[in-house]
Amino acid sequence: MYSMNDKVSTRQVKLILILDMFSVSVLILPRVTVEVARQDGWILVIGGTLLAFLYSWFIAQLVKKFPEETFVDFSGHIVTRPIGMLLSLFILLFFILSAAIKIRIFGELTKQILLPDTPIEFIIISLLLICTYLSRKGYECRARVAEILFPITLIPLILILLFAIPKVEIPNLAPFFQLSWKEFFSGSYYVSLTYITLILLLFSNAFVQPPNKSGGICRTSLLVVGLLKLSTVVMTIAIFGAKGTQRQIWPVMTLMQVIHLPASFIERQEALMMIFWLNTVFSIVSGYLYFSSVIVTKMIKSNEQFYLVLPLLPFIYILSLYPSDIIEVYNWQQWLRRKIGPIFLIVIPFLLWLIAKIRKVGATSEEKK
Amino acid sequence: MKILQQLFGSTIKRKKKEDHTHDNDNKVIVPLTASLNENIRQIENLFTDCEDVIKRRFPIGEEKKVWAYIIYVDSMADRQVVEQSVLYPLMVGVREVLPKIEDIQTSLLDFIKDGGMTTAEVKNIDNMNDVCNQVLSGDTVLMIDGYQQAIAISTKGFPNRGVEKPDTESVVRGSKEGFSESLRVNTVLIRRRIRDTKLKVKQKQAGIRSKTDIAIMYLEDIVRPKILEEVNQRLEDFKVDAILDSGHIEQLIQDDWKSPFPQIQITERPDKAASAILEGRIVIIVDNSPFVLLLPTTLNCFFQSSEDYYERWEIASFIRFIRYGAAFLATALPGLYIALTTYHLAMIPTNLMLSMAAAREGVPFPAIIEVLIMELAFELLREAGIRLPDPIGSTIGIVGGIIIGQAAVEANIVSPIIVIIVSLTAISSFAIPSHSLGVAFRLSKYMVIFLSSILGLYGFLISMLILIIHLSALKSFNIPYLAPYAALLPLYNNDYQDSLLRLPFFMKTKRPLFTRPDQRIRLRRKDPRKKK
Amino acid sequence: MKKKNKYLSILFVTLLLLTGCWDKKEIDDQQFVISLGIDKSEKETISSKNSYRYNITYATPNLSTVQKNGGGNEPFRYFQYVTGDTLTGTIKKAQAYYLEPINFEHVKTIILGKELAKDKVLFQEVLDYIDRTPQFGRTVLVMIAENTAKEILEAKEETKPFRNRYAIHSQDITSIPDELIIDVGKVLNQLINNEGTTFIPRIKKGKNNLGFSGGAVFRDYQFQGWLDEAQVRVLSWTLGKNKGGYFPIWYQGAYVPYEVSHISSKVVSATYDKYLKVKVQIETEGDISEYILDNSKKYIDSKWVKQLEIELEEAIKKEIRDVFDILQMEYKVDIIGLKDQLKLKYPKVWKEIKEDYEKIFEEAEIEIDVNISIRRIGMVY
Repeated sequence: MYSMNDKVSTRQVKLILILDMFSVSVLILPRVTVEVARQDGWILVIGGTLLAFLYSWFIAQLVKKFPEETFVDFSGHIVTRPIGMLLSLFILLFFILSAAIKIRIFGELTKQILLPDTPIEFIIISLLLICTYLSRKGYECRARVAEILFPITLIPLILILLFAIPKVEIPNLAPFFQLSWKEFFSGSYYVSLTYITLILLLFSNAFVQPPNKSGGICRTSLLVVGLLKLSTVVMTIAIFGAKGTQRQIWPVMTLMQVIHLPASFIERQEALMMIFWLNTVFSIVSGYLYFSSVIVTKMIKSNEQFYLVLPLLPFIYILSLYPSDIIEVYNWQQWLRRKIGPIFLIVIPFLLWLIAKIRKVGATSEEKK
Repeated sequence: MKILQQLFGSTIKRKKKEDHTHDNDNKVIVPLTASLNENIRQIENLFTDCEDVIKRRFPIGEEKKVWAYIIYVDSMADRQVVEQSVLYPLMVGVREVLPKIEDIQTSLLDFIKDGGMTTAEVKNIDNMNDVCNQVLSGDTVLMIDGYQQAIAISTKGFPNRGVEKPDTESVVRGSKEGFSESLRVNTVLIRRRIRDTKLKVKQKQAGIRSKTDIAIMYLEDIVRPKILEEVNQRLEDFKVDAILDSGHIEQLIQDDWKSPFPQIQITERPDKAASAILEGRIVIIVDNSPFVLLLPTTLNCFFQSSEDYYERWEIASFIRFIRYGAAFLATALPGLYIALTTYHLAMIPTNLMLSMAAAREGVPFPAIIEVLIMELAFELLREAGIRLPDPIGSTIGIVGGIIIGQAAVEANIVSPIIVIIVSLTAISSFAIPSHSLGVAFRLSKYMVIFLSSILGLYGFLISMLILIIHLSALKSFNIPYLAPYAALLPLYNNDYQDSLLRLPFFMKTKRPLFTRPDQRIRLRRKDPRKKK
Repeated sequence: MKKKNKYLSILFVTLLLLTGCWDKKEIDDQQFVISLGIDKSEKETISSKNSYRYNITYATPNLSTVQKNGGGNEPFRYFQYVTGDTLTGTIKKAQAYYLEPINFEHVKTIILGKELAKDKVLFQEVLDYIDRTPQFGRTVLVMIAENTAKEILEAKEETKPFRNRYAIHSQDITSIPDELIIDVGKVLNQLINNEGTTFIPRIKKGKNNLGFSGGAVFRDYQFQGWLDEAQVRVLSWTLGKNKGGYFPIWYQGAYVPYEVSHISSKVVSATYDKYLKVKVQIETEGDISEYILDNSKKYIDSKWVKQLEIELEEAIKKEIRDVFDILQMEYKVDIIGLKDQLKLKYPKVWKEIKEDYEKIFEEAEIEIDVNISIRRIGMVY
């Protein structure tokens, strides 16, 4: 019977992942790609997504071996408990830091576009409180919220992209295929790192019923997110040109401004569109928060997950206010993505999977059948 | 201090009068003895000062008399039945019976019970608690000297309203019968619509002092057994003085008492209750209440009305959309207005904005206060309108709504746009078919207004998120509240046939998600090839 | 009891925090600026105390005239004039004079004065401000005034209530087709992607109305010169954007206009040897809408039409040639979109020339081929 057993379906996890991966990265993605490959930046997105498929394969294989277990548990099985604990601690710190940066970016954007005079602390606190409310209700509730938010968020975003088409100037994308192989690979690598939220799958697989469909989950969500990112980047570069995209801090926001919705009586609709995009940030931050509390719960072997959400808040809040200006925020984000991200996205899953295979730990498909 | 003690000391320190007749649960513990005189004494004691309880002692038989005693409540028991079917046979008819009373071999009690009276329902009872219960429920109890048992005779005939039009749920097309206050009438209304042996009616009593009858009706083979168990469990979980209305039961067994959203649906219409049973839900009927409870519920159920199923599917789907839109408007409209006009002036088209600015010249209050004033005034009007008798009620509607609103605008207390917004909101909240859900949205509206007035569109988003999170976490008897929009798998594959769109009948081949998983196929064409 | 205390304290703290409403703007307390004019200050002085570089003029509606029944004899707009050092400083100064906050979020047009446009530094500053500030959207129309922005803004006499015609709006425009009305987004795009090359329409003050008439050409953020109406019309032909435009030609005793209903312009060949050689082909379809009512003249027949087509082609070619000469020699700027077409269609050629494009464009040989078709001639022969 369907009760408080915190199990979700694969469809729900797919939706959660799509919402999570689409959020903050899509805002700065055009700039990142244009910096490397100028007007061919969109090709990097394709390359990055393909690389992300590769990473997700390792992660999916890893979690398939350990259904019903979160990273904290199975890392302990693979590489002995203390090291597993250490790894979990690192991931906890990473989550907290990521959440802090994302909240800060969100706060900056809100302050810029929606509420210029409100102190940013207040915006951050209110978002944190909402995320706490969600995290306390458990993963099941989070899945349902994602199901509801998914059409609300993505349909307007897709509409924006559709309505941006008349403004596209193809010559901005030309000449095509001018980038060198080196640029392609390094750029794709950077883009693939924006899929860092895949590591949430290391944890969420424990809640999925049936548990061995993680491969399909990854594939579908990566495909959808990849398409969305690709179209966004293409649109942005096509409308603003390579140099224009580089100059903007939030090119996607400006994109929302220049499009003309037919029969709409709302002008300056970027504020409205931002509201829809904010849902995704809410989703990812509450995800980080929830899983941080899960890690802490498992580490101190407590039974109640709910109460541990609130103590994490001060850390995130203080960290998010630490960078002093927007450029420093951007640098932190880049550092987090480029230096720390690969460790969790690529290195750890791969190593763990390898070690698990060698030591023959974990359920194999023959055993399950 | 001493005066206080004197005044209140007596009330505080007075010892509770020793009550030997009832135990802690208000059950009568006086024994039923074989001696009629002793029983009579106990009953007189229990029913002191109850002038409406009629007691009669009479002899059965001519020469060798056996004393009997009947108790009933005046006007609750049908006096005609008592006189004609109970007293007449016992007092008169028995004299014509051969053999004479002395020759009766079996126990007199059984003789009377089996053949002495001509009433339809008789029962043995063997303790005083049941005697009192039966008497107080409208039955007549007959006690015979020498026997430690009594007979309860069903003679219920209390006054009741009968089957009338349901006040709160009227439809254009569909039956106009509504439930009444009598439990039996209500169960009959449902029985008429489901003539299936698998329709079960389980009765319980709740409330220590009120001992209200509750009937639980369900279809045995399609209801989920775990939900049934849960319902029974919850009904036995509490001990309360009295259950006066189904609302009491609803609040006592619902999942989350903090939430303003109703987790149990109520209805006054038998056809709605019958269709709920056919969907695999459980109906709880409470005596003395024309509102029956339907559970478990999802949010979707509140947006369905009986008419949807009797009309064609296009109009039903269209009206469904309007209802969902109305729900959104009823919650969000004032907050959205405040957010846009106070924080995000850039988003309103210039023409409109200039008109609004011009219209608001001279209005002393900020937009938020205006909205709150008008909203609260509307609530006042609504409350007042409920209690007024019909002829005055509609006049007040016109007077209050139009004239006062107009006057307020002309006096420059509020701007005309606010009046439009607030009335639109109020109308939308009436468009929601279920009153209890409308109330929930009315309350959430204030939270949305509050948050929007502080943080603009961002606050609006936060309030919407709060609502979504709250609704997502809500469960009604372990069925997620937001099914079928969320959380369907691993329950079912789809249940969209009846949510936003009402699909045509021939497409509704499966029963909704409330039913047992193996009982889902509902409609089958007789011959798939024969399609007109 | 403890739980209740906890809830109460949370509520209290929240209430304290929620006394903010920092961003609240009452709708009737604001001054809404609809159109903004920026001029260079007459006496430009830069001193530590008071620098004067910008003159800003802006118009705000008189709200009491916005109601349906009009406002009698009151003016429809109020004007404010401020002078200051930077744009931000000037705006703040403007704010200081008036009690109500000024709201720029509904600005629809920005008019730059001629002197301002000619000053490279000021021009760049203004455009950067427009880009950087979140107040102006990217759909704001930008244009250059014939003399000063101030006189343009003051010029228009409103005959209808302000609510309907709140600024110079694109519907007022008399002569230029829609595609050349440029919003600031496009201007910024062109400036950034093409290193300071762009074209901004010019607005002129007539006797009783305002109108677009030609525009200003910029290269390297520097004002180069004007293009008048006729030249801009020609330009729009080469851009393939003159639907609804027309071309008048003297033919057989009457000034016959050729109205364009469909136009397309393509670069059909491009080679680079020592200099760039490009061939542009323009194809149009259109109607004849006027001739002359005279019994002696023949009715229009196909020979007439064919002859007219040939003469039109020659005339147009010549005009285009003239404008291109100006563009190449005098202004040395490519605003005809040649660059884009080359990038798109001839990437190899583009690769070779993109380094030194300006010089190459100056010396390029652009051959123009015009192909006119006359489709309809009205209701009579």
